[in-house]
Amino acid sequence: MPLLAVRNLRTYFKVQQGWVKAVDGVNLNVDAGETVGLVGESGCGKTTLAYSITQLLPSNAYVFGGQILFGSEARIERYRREYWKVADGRIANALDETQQALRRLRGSGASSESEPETKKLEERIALLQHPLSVTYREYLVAEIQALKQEVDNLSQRLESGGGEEAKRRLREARDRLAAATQQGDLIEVVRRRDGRLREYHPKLNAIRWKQISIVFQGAMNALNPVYTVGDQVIEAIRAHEDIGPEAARTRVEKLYRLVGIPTDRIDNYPHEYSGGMKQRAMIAMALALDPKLVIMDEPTTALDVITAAKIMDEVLQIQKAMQMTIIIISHDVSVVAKVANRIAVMYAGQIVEESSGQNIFSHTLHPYTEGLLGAFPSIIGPRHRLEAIPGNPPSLLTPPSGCRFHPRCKYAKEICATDAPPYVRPEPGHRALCHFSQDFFAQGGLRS
Amino acid sequence: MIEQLPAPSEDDRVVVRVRDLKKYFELKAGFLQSLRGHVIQVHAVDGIGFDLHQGEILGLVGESGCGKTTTGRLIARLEDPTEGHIDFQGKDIANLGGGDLFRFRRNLQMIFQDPYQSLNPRYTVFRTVAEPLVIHRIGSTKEQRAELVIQALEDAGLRPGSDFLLRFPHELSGGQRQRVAIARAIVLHPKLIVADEPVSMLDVSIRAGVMNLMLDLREKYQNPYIFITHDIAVARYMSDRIAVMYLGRIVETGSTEDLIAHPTHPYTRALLAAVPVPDPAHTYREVPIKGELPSPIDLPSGCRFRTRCVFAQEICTTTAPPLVEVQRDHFAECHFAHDIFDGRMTEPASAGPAPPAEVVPTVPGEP
Ligand SMILES: Nc1ncnc2c1ncn2[C@@H]1O[C@H](COP(=O)(O)OP(=O)(O)OP(=O)(O)O)[C@@H](O)[C@H]1O
Ligand SMILES: Nc1ncnc2c1ncn2[C@@H]1O[C@H](COP(=O)(O)OP(=O)(O)O)[C@@H](O)[C@H]1O
Ligand code: SF4
Ligand code: SF4
Ligand SMILES: [Mg+2]
Ligand SMILES: [Mg+2]
Repeated sequence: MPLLAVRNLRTYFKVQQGWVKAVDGVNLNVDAGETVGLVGESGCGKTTLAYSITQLLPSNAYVFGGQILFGSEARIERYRREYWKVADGRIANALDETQQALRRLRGSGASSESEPETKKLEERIALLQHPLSVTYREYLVAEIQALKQEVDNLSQRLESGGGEEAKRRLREARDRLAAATQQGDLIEVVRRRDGRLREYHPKLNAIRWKQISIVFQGAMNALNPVYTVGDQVIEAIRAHEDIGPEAARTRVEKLYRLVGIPTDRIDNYPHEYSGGMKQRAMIAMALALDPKLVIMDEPTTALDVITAAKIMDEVLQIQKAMQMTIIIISHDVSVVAKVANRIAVMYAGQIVEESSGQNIFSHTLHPYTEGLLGAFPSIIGPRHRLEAIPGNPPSLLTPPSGCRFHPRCKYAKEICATDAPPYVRPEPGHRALCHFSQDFFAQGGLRS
Repeated sequence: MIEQLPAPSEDDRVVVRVRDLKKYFELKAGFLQSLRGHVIQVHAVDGIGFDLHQGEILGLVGESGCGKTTTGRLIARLEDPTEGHIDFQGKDIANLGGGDLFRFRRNLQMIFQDPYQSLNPRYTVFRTVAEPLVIHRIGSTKEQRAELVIQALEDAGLRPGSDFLLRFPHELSGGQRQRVAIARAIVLHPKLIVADEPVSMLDVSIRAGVMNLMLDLREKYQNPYIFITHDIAVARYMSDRIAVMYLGRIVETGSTEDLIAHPTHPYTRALLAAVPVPDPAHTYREVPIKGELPSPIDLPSGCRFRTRCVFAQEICTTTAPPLVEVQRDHFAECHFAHDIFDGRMTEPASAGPAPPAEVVPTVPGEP
């Protein structure tokens, strides 16, 4: 079940010299219960994407397009995808037939009588080639009607004694109906016509933290030195939930146990905490309202490896126990490889490759991913010379034309400087933004 | 503590020989209310020793606060040792002062972590790199200095060097700034370079280039480096030998591959278990370590790792462990070093690591 769907999001910052295209056409689906890793170098737009999702963007940020769907709206997207699997086949057939008919008509020689017929066929082709959003809505309506019918039928049958099997099927049908009709917790980026963000969505503050929470990059340094850490967590809870101080404190004790801080440290000040404890406290704060989605922006970057490993292990256990969904942002592929089910690699404001954890390593499809993986030393395997990616990450004020990676890419051809590459999906659940990913796939991936 | 490293040999390839080096920082009385009136000491470096040979890179690893930077600064003599010896090509520099210290400094350069802070934003690249030449009165004309500066810039991978002379730090990328810092460090052809986390602040794709550059420079000039890093994977890539520090002590040292293949000190073993590996198929063990780093003010008795050690026994509380040579040139400071090295003792079995939750892969977002 998709929990979050980011669609073609473009978030730019306005600066004196122009626009910083920090997020430029990002698509990302996150399923409930998943851990998605987002990797990329400094300045490629990871935090900007996180802030777009949580709507915490600064005032010079403008959202130029796209959608962010959360909760049940995202579920409808899943229906759409399943529908398209069937519909795509049908449409491909229809398109094929129509094109053949058109060719036959043209082959039989042009005449004034056949002109309206030609026009009709051409229109039909255009329509078939167009993404059919109207059809999708009709499909949904039909689907909901069919589900209602099914629920009615099943409850009638149950009244006349249908047994366990009918009961189970009724329950299932009801769930599906609920999922299809529920309007639910839609978060959509709300913006003015000029692209400037409007005030927060009225429902947003309630949704944020309760549904989506974020562990900010460098957050542990943002604790207020004059209040105890416990008080700061309590305050965060009470700002979003109407509970008394006693109940909030009990919750903090529970959270401290969860993230592994001794509860007798609740009333200490931030300077009395080690870096690891501060970061644990920040994670406790993010978990305080039992969110569905937690975004962790470089949660362990400032910590030593031992503390980092322990904290991440604990986070994964909590995730399992609480059925949380996590997006973890890191510049370190190793960290993400360890914890994520799925990895998305960002470069210059775009996701250049995405796959389930394994595939991005076993058949790498994007030259930047190859470069990134080749640049990391490892403590296992033989020691071999690392290969640096030449040059530097580009300025997002004036990103390179065509493929944004082309000035640094060793596979670049002429087309790369002029044409933006499409997403290529040579295997299920794996996509890459490169003109030649299909070829790389055919040769077994770039690192084979 | 008796220094237990082998007695100094006549090996003339040794550039630096450190013995029983200590640095205690004194915090002002009253800094902590409970200890008012007492002098509080931070045992930042507490009796370390090692040899550094010609052309060798020694990786100094350990978690934040274990004393790596202080060690580097002591050897560069930016800090006065509390006790101990630093033998630099046969001469003890631990207590140098005044003009002697000034003359010694020519032999040694440091490279720092933050390429943004270590360069003066108002100096051109030329002025920055030429500064050590000016300080040590090398090259009598600007032209002579420019020649040396260009040579250093090109050695540091900034080619052609002349293109960079008049640039300011803000006109350079992070990787280029760190290369300028390297150029500045090598312009005097020092006999030793101490690099303190030189790549930690750099982007991954640039980091490999700077590391390769340092390896190439070592190849070319055969000068030794002390390479400080908290990342043991980086240390493995860069160094011939690794020294692992914990709370002011070197707890294990050995040739890089020996130490990685046969980690012996329980702390080294925990470090290695904790390092993430860029391979999703890698299976992790639970990190065999307890609790948190104790304060360097209030050190545990006996073995200072005992509060976190999963091997610890009675003796560890009472007696400081000896430095044990477990294989040729591979030392570990632990009562059970031989047993662990030989595999007679291993970490107690536990619940095992937390594997990532099984989730059915999804179709990535459609454009
Ligand atoms: N408020 C702002 N105004 C202008 N530009 C900004 C602003 N915030 C971020 N940027 C720019 O947007 C781009 C993306 O920044 P972002 O913080 O999302 O990167 P990141 O991938 O999180 O990097 P890091 O790994 O360093 O945290 C960068 O070029 C950055 O300089
Ligand atoms: N100038 C100083 N005054 C007091 N304590 C210091 C000073 N410099 C370092 N320390 C302390 O010494 C210990 C070792 O520090 P450092 O050498 O910087 O470690 P590392 O580089 O391994 O992180 C730490 O506990 C640190 O707080
Ligand atoms: S599109 Fe061209 S430049 Fe871009 S990654 Fe692919 S090969 Fe390289
Ligand atoms: S001496 Fe004892 S406490 Fe210290 S590392 Fe060895 S087993 Fe652990
Ligand atoms: Mg960031
Ligand atoms: Mg340091």
